[in-house]
Amino acid sequence: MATQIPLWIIPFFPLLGALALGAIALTRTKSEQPAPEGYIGALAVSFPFISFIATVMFAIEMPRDGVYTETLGSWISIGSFQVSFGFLFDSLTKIMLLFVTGITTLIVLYSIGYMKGDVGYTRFMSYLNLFLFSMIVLVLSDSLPLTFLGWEGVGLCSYLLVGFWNKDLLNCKAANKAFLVNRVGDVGFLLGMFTLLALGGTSLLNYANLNEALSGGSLAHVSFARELIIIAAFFLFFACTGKSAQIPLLTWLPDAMAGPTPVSALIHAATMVTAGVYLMARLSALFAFDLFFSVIVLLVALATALWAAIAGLLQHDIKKILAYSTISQLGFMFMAAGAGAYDVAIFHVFTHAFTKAALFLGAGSVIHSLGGEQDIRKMGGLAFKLPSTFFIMLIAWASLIGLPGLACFWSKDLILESIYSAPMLYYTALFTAILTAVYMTRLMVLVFLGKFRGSSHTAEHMHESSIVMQVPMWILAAGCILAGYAPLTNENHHTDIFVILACCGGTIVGLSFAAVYFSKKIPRYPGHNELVGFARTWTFLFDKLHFLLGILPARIAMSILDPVNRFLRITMIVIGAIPVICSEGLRFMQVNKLRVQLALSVISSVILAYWLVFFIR
Amino acid sequence: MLISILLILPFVCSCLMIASSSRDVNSSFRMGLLCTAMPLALATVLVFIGGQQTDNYLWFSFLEIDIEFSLYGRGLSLWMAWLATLLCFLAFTYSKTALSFGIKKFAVGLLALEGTIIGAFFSAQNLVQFLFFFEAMILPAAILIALYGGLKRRRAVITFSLYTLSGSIPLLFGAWYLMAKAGSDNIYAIAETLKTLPLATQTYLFIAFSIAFAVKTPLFPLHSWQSITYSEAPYPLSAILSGAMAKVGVFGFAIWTIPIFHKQVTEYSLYLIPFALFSALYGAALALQQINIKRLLAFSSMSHLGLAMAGLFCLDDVVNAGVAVMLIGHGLTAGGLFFFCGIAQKWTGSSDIKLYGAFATTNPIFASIFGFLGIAAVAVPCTVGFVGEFLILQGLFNSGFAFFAVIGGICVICSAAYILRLIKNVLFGPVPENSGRANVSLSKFEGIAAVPIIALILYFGLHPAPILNSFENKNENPALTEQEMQEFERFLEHLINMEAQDSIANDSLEEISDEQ
Repeated sequence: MATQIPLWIIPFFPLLGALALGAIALTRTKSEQPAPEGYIGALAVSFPFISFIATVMFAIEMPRDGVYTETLGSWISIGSFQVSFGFLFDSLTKIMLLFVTGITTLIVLYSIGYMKGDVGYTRFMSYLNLFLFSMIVLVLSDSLPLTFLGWEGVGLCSYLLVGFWNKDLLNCKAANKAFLVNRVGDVGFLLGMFTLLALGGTSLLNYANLNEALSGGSLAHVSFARELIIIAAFFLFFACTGKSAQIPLLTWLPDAMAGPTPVSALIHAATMVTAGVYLMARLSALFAFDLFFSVIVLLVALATALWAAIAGLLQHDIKKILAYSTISQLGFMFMAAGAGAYDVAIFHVFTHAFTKAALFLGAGSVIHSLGGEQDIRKMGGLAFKLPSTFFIMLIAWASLIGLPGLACFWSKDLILESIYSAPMLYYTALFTAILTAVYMTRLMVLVFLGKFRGSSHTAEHMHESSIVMQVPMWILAAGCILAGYAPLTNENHHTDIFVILACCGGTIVGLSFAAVYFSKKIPRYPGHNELVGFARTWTFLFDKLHFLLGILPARIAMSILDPVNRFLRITMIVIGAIPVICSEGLRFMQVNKLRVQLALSVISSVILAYWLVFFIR
Repeated sequence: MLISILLILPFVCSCLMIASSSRDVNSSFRMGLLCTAMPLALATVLVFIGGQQTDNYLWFSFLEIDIEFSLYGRGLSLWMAWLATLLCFLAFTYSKTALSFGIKKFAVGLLALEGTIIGAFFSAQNLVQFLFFFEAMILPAAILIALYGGLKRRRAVITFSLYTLSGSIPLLFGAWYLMAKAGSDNIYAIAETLKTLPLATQTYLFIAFSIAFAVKTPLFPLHSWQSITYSEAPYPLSAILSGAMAKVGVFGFAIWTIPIFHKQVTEYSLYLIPFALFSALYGAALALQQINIKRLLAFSSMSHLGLAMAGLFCLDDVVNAGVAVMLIGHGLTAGGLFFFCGIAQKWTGSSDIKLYGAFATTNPIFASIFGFLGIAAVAVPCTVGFVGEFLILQGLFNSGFAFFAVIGGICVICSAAYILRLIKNVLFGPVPENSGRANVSLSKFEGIAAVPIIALILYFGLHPAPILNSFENKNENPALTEQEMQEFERFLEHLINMEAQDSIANDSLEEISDEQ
């Protein structure tokens, strides 16, 4: 049964919003009076909301396991090379789109309050709409090239939004780093697509065809099919590590916190960074093709989760703690994907999106009320000053560390269960979950309990955020409680009571330890002003590794090629000088010696003609 | 008919421009706009009707070599000619603010240059005709640099003209030799004659034919003329040099070197591709460390065209179409970037990108256009560059050595690195003090002229079918593919065996069979 509204409605409205707001932002640049913020804000929030409504309508109408497809037209078409614009709406798309459009709507609403009075208000709203468009295309596309369009599109929006406050070059550096590291992953995406192309032409780039070919065994006659599939999966996984900030391409995400906080909540916590998990779930047939590959995914995911949890313990910037927490949670999602439980991975994406968005928005509210302060060593005792924010963050905190009954508890529990059969992996993951409780409790204690450690000036100006910022936070907090009950996973996950108990016990031990320890041991603020944004405190060698593998070779190449280039230029000048020198020498023949010249040219012409006529033929 | 008019029109317009007033800048500007718009309109019409070609006319006979004249405007030829007319129109629009004097003379030279470039692109069948235009385009370009260039323009002109002229000397000798052997300057006759020559001679001729085009493109060891020329030329001219004239080098490879020396190219393909890729990497590495804005663009141009050349050497129909898309995309984005970097250079009075900055704050419209063009140069999907790079990289991946695609990917990453660095330096950062930025703003013409560039970048990025479709009609493409060559040979053998002198064979075929 086909529905009446076409699928392109969903991405169309955010695109329209991006263009309209962009036009307003451009035309208003030189005018004295800035665009009316209330009107712009209402406009900016309405487009994502329409998308959300459209998605809900599709989701309601869609029968269980139903699939809508729609082809808009051809994109690159030459000979047998056919790539088209096509959309695919199935149960996976449904989950992703529902929370992407929903959370974007809430965060745009929040931004109306957060970005109030900023010079680039309209531009910011335009970028957010453009981001939503790209993200919808990424999720809704029915083929890899179109997903790549969205994939690069969200990367571009991330670049634009991280460097949004572009007067500070450190922000721009962070934005460039985010784009470049993602670009490295994107080349992996391209190579993955090319491998599939080599395997079976452009038809394999379509998800439906790919899954059919992989399960139906129609590739059996292709030589090296198995090897090519593994190579393709490897390249595409590399792309996922870029977008989802896994080892080895994870260094950009902490730096990307230089952007405005709503951006961090939306792009770098809830939606864009989960694109890698989405791609793995979408290509589950490809990634689950070989067991060896799954082991690699599991190990990478586990290492990332553990590393980021440790790094999160050592940060002092409230947003960076949350950023490392995001990396760690993404590691959990990849763990589930590596174990083959793709539905569980998507379930954790879903619950984590609400939780982390609420946490980031809460952090944004704290930063906003403290006038831009991000260092938790200069906070403390905010529970009574910002009660609403405190309660929201408390709910989100409880959800993230996995207290029973809240959203992330259900998904994290299922993840731990999915790798329960491998004890080494399981206990490391459990340890990471305990660490999650420790660093999150540390954040809560240092921000909200104890005495305020900032300047008295800040304390006087402290205020609870406006209602337009609080409403989205409360809705997200409700999501932190309820999202866990959404029926998103298969029925066949058995529940082991030991896993639940171990998980809960570990969490409670972790949080009580942290609560006691960090109430007593409050880190001192060193006094001097540290850089916020690009400067990072601790990235555990990966920045050095990137430097060694990426920047250093480029520098060496530059320093080798520069002399080469100079040498070539000097050669050119030397060769060019030869005729000049010769002409100086031969000048005596030219000046005032017409007869000599004439004679020479006649002779040479005769020789030339003779040679032409008699030797060439 | 139309195609002949399109060839003549720029020269006629050039003569018309001489008649315009040199004192009244506005009147000569209007006249120049009209004169550059007419070829563009005509070329657009030709694109819409799918191209035209003329018959072969005997131009003159010289030492028993029949020199013919024919115009061929389909596929790559037509699109490149269209690109040249478009860039000339835009360049003239920007020249009003770019040049402090002598718009009239600039238009005269520009139109002459446009005519020669179009002529070179339309000469896909007759070698002498191609060589004529190939050499002729250096003259107006050199004169324009000499008249309107920067401080080091003298050196730039000498470098440019001497380097490119001497680069084509081997081509001239090779062409002369081949034509004398073939008794004709027709590409089919030449390709046939080549097969009768000893292998060593074929290789030498191949090198001779490659050097001239490698200089023009430019490829790695023969690029030294490029950076000084592009940086010293007035920026509307730089846009044409990089956007249209450099394409003649790639075009020469696609239309002349590869079809004639098909055997050599196929044989050495695995050496030629890394050669072109090295050129691309080399350009990227040098672009990464440039602080002179136009030199940065020059090396970026070298990098992109190196990638296009690597795609060309894949010898695949799909990739060839991708190369065409990439060339058009590069013409639009590099041309646009040259315009806007030139404007920034004019505003700040410096070519050092470290002295720029904060245009995003002071001139948001300029910054938006500049940023868009930069992002388009990075080849993000939705822009035309992506379609080209996608097709080329997949061609490299399937070229027999998949590692080439990885190198191509490194070029893509590097292009993002230097373009983002450029954007960061030019657009972002704190507003420099005492810069007098408040006084500068984008003029009406400068803003409006960017619209077609942006629109076309997006249009071809989302819907490259107009370009790609013109490559699906293989019969009309003079750049012979392997299969076509075989068909042609079979046809020829058939003719010879039948000893047919009948009416089926056209003039050129008759000649070849006579030879044999």
